[in-house]
Amino acid sequence: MAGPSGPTIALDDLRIAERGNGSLTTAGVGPSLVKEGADADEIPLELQPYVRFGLLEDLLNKARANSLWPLTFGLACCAIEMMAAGAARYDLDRFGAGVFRPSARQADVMIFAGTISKKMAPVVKQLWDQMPSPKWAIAMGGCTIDGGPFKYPNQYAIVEGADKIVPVDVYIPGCPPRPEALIAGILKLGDKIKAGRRFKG
Amino acid sequence: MSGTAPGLDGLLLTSAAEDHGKSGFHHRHTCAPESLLAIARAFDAAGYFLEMMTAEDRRADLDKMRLVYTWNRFGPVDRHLLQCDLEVGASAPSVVAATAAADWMEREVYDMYGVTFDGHPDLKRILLPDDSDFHALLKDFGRMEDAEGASGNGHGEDA
Amino acid sequence: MLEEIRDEGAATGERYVLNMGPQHPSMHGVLRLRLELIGEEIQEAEAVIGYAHRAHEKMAENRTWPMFLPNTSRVDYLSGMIYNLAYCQAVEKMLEIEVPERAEYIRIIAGELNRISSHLLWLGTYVMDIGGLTPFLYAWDDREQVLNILERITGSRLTYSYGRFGGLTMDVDDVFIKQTQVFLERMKGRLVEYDKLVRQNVIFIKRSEGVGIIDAETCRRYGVTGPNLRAAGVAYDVRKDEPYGIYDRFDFEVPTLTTADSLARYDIRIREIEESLKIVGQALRDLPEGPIMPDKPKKKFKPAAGETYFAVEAARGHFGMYLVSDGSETPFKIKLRTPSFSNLAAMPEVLRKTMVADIIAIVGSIDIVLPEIDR
Repeated sequence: MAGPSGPTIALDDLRIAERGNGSLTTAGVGPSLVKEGADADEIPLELQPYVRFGLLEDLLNKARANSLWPLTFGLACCAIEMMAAGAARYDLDRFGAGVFRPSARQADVMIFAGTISKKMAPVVKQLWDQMPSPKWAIAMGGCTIDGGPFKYPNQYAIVEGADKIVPVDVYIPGCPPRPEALIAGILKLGDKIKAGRRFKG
Repeated sequence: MSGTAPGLDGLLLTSAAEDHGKSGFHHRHTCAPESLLAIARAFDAAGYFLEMMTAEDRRADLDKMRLVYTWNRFGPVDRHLLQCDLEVGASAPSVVAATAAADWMEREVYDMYGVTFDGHPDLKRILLPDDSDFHALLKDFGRMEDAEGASGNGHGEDA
Repeated sequence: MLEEIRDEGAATGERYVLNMGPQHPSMHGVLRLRLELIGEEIQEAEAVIGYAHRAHEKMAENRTWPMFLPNTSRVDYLSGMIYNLAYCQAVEKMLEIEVPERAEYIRIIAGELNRISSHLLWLGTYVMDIGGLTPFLYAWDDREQVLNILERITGSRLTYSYGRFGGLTMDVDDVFIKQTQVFLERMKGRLVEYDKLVRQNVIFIKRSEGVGIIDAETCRRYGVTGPNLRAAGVAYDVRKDEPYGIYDRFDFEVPTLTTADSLARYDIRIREIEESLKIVGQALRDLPEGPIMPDKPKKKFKPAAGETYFAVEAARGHFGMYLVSDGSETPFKIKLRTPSFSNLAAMPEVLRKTMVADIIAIVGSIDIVLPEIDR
């Protein structure tokens, strides 16, 4: 790999530096390849914001994290705050996550926004199975965490938590959570993706 | 759209005017199940609409299932409360033939209380899953006290 | 041409079943429509509901009267304030509790602001459903202004537990009043913009005019209320016909039209936003000083045995609560008569012989919220 005006880095000199610690900014997370004994100055300063060397997987993960396509899956009250997060004031689009797909086959992330009733649970499972890997799940709101305000002993109608049906990656508490909370949750999921972790299948 | 108050003579068991300011009803009636369809037809012919229909599980104190209907009109408002007590396990006549609103309302009463309605075109569950084996609002079903490890007011910690 | 297709379809058995929902992009919640089609034309439509059933009425029977307050907003979360205050007013009627004047006025302001935000939300989503993606952003930004205002006094944006039996939790301050006045001024200009952006748009008109006619007789047979009924020519509004709170002191009109199509329902809701703005202006002008809770608020109580019915005009129509007390701290029964349940019940009949594309317009124009249907 030859830089435009720097020394060539020999492959056997490569080592993987420490991973970032998951801050909420999209830059500066992920491994960097540096030559033993050398530092990031090898990449010319003016190009450092634009040029990254990394494992292909990490680059793919970064791409996935920055363009999460959610499934339109509003179930109840949280759906309104999810839509508000996609609307003009909170604008999910600037995080790449504003493209809501109606078809599960085109979506990356399923945001469970609302209470899951027992009648709805098979539908949820079916949609989850329809989503192709890699896929993630965000449980938005108290109802999807553990049943929320509708949980009481012997509740007959709801599934107490989305993680009873699918593996959930991020939990966002609130009733309903503010759009900023949803955005924080999506960014947290982005961190998780960039770190390369997901449930298989 | 206002009509004249319907002629319900001979169809009711009891009937009385009520203070709408206190209870929200202008009239309160009771009737026998056999008269339900005729009463519904009378209200419908007079331009009223079936505002609400539900049931109450009165097996504990009256040994009956109580059907509750409210009829009203769009203006001037004239709300009639109609209560009809059924023997436990008996079915009631459907009033769908008199008013289309009863279609879904009777299905909900069947779903929640198990009361069947003779003459309903398609009496099946409406809110609970189709394969449910319980009727949700019956008093002996789904009580908090009956849950395993339940205590108090529904805010218990998970075991 | 359509008749030939239909006859041929009926003859050859070319009727097929299309399932719409419960997961569907046209934002009404988890509604499932089972459609039997010949070509693009609907022969039978069946609405399958229950996917948002959360057992509100069972919860009411299992807890004390005050513990039902958080449920009320979540029944119809788009007019959550109206529903929350309705429950408070219903219990106040049952117990004959007097509400201080200032609280009554603030309830009117909060309720009407909630109505405006609900109609704005509907405007954005309805036009989005039929293909206009831009008004959604404008309408929801206006809605954010209302949410800001209400958040100041309640702490919540969507699901409020603002009312208490006898009054309210928090008082309003000068900043609230100023913000509301600014909002009223702003909305005047915005409604002109919506007229230009949406109402004059030829595609919007073509997709709404003459589509989904629900006439007054159909409304009566199913108990359809709210803007849908008023678009059919019936001037029924619970705030006028069965006034509650202090609505009888306010000067506002109940708009009606006679065309009863989706365009009429749109026009009625815009007019209702205007009337609500008028009411809020009058309430701000007449807002008296004073407490917002009675001296001895009731926290634990056992109402006398009996039945009470209380109705309000929610954003979607006549919302009624049938409270049955058996003399204990726990309600014997609370039945929620929700407007969307009756409004949707008319749909299978109305959707017959329409085209698939029109379903979205019609179901969108009647403005339903599934959790209030399923409860």
